[in-house]
Amino acid sequence: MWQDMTWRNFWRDERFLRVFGQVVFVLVVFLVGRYLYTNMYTALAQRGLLPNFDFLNTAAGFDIGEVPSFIHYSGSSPNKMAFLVGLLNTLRVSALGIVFATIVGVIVGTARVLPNPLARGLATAYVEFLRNVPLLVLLVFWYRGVFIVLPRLAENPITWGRQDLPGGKFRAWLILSNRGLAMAWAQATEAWALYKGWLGAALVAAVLVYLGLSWYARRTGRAPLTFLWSLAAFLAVAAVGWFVVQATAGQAPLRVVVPEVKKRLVEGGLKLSPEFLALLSGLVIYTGAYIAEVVRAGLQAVSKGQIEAARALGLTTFQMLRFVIFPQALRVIVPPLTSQYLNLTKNSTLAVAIGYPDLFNVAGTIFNQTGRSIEVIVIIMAVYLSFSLITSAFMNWYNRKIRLVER
Amino acid sequence: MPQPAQTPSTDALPPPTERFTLLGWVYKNLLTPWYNLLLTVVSLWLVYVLLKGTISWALTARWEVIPANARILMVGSYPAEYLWRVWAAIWLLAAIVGFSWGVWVSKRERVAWVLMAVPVVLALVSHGWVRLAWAATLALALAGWWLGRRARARKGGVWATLLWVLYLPTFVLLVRGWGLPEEPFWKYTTAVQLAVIVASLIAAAWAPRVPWVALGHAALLAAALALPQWRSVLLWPAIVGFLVWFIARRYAHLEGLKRLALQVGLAYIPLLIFIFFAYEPLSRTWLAKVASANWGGLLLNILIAVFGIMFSFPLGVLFALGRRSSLPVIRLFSILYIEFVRGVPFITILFMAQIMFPILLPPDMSIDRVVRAIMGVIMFAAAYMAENVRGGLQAIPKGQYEAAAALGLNATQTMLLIILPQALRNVIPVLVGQFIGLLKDTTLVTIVGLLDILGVAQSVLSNPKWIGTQREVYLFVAFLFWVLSYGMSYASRRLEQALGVGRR
Repeated sequence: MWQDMTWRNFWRDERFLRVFGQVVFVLVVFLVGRYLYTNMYTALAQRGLLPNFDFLNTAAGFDIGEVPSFIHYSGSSPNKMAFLVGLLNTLRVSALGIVFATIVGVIVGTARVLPNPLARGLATAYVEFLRNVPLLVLLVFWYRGVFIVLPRLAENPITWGRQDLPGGKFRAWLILSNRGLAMAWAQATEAWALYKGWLGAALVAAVLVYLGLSWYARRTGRAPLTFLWSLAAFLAVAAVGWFVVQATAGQAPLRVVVPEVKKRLVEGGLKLSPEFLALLSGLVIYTGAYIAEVVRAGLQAVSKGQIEAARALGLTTFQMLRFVIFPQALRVIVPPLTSQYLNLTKNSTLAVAIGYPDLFNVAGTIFNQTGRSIEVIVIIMAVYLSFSLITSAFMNWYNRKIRLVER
Repeated sequence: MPQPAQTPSTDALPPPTERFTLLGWVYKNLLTPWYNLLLTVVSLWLVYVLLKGTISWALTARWEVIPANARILMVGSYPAEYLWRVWAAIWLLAAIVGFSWGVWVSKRERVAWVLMAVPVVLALVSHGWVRLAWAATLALALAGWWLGRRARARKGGVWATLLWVLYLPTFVLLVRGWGLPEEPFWKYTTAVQLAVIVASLIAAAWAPRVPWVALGHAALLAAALALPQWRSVLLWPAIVGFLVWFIARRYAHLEGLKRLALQVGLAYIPLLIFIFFAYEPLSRTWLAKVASANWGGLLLNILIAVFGIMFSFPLGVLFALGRRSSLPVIRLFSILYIEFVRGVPFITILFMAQIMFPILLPPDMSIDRVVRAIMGVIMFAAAYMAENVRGGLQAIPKGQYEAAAALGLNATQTMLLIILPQALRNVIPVLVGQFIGLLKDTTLVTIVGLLDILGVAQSVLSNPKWIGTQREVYLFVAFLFWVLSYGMSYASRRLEQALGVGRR
């Protein structure tokens, strides 16, 4: 052993080399970093733009096309409010996109394993086409080729349930024009404040039912439909509340408002801009194709023997799906599905190409206005990094929860 | 599955099967049970609606916008006198595709007809010399195929792989062209630099144990550091030469190293002749550099993707190895890099590359916009590449490492000769998938203001003559990408079969 310790051999000693190599690596990284930092510092100091987050509190000075209704934003609001509006817009389009893309993906993915050749062929064509086309091309096509060349409001918009009113006005349940989509939507009345309490009670009831049934399931080994029953409890309490409020306050908590077109203006109802619609539908049909592949892989990963075994045990089709196929397919589906959700959120930055004010778009405008490159980049990267960190934390938790317990 | 033990009987009839009839098939697959019928009806209705809408629009669409702008969409403002270089790249590609087809595909496949139909159709719709060029493409593809058939028994696979590996740099050298160094004595300095490298290799083969060689490198390094006017000439040859010597000398006991050193030494002479007498005239005339500002259209997308693939692949392998390294600092660095890049959207990396690079580098060192975008693409793709390669590395059983150690291979040899070849072979489909993604993602450079095919499409559409043709133009762009991506994924499936991925 003592030879290892001699001075002659130390550069052949692996223990020394490992430490030495790492020290050299750190040194190189440090020197390169210092070099870049010095350059950056001089360049920014010359322009008087040393990193400083004070600009967040100065007035933004630009308008944003779409602001969530519960936020007050105008050109004189500070830049941090602009960031917040952008963030909320990103969250809005991502959340809706995730929901709809999942629905599309599950339908198409299931269709890809059906025995019916027509449905299968259609689903395959959908997936094979969309997965091989750039999302940006799809979005731009969707926006410029479809949504903004729709008929104008004054001409002949696409409507559903149209009622013509005197004076050239009309109302319809659904109006699709080059200004986007307007549709009938629920609006809170004065009785809504009363109803909120009932909704809280319904939530409590749902949680109680969920906990009770889970306890029952653990206790007896049976498997009641926990989620469906708690949903039913929620709906039941909510419905009772609805009628009670209607009887006591004299009006329902929500009322339906149908959009009405006067000349070139739409009044009432829910209005969605063409940018939002193009972004949402582009993201949904694109990510839907990827989710379809995830779902198909998950369904095909359940081995045929499992299905045959379930049949041999005499399970009904429903029981087979619930106890045999879904639990096993989900284990395969959820990890790639989450990464698709994350992809959708990250891809929503392409909104900048069609003018939807998401976080990246707003950040770009702020950068153009203030010239604060480092700060803006740090903020957007921090936001997206925290999205993916939260998602991967969830993934780790979920993977632990559904891990195959080997006996 | 083991066959049940029974005597092989030739006279026993096979079990009765359902006889195939068209009506029976339709009844079984489309009409029963009731939900299947419902599905059939819904699908038919969807097909009807989609086809009716598409066909009635396609018949009235103004398709003339595509041929009228074909050149600008394809190559942007690439100089007309050098267009033949793009054609040469296409011809080479066709010949290599034909060759690989001849080598690797033995059965007749319908796709071959589709592949051949592409230049035929393009020749029919074009006119003038473009038609001739497409005809030449087809002829070269067929010639390549014929050669490939001949070469199949004579290491055809090795040749085809080599051709593909060489194709990417050739493509870049053809399309980008060669620049002339600004330095006045570049011929002589290049000769000296190459001589240092070649001499290092020869020294490693014949004198691996002589410490004076290293001292020679140290002297060169000292000279480079001491004499500012020699720094740019001697600095990198001193370092690279030392590394070549240091790594190669460990293999001096192998006969192959001496042969390699001899070959490289002999190649040095023609290379010198080429540099002194042919490089300069060529790069002034035929192969003059086309500035990256003139790259445009689909060509820019493809160039960015090719650069991205060429550089992100080795970088990704390094990061993958770094992430699995036992050195904590290297591992931490790799993990941080990979997770950071994968956590942010691509467009923010591109945006950062456009805005931050000029700030991070000294003012006299400016990188042009296209190169910045390419660097952003490389940074982004390397992280994803690393994760894919890591997937392949993790799938290699421990026994392979142990077997390599038992054979006396060191860590580098184990990695290069045993682990990486298997790992990379296993992840080919994933890597091709990533290359397709990379090609698709290159359209994002249009957001940072480059004139790739989408950028060119936008400028075409802002021409008053072509207002209202968005659908035609964007559908054409989508179709182009579809053909390229689908072709790549088809090729990867073939390659997988040829290399026997998933089979033993």
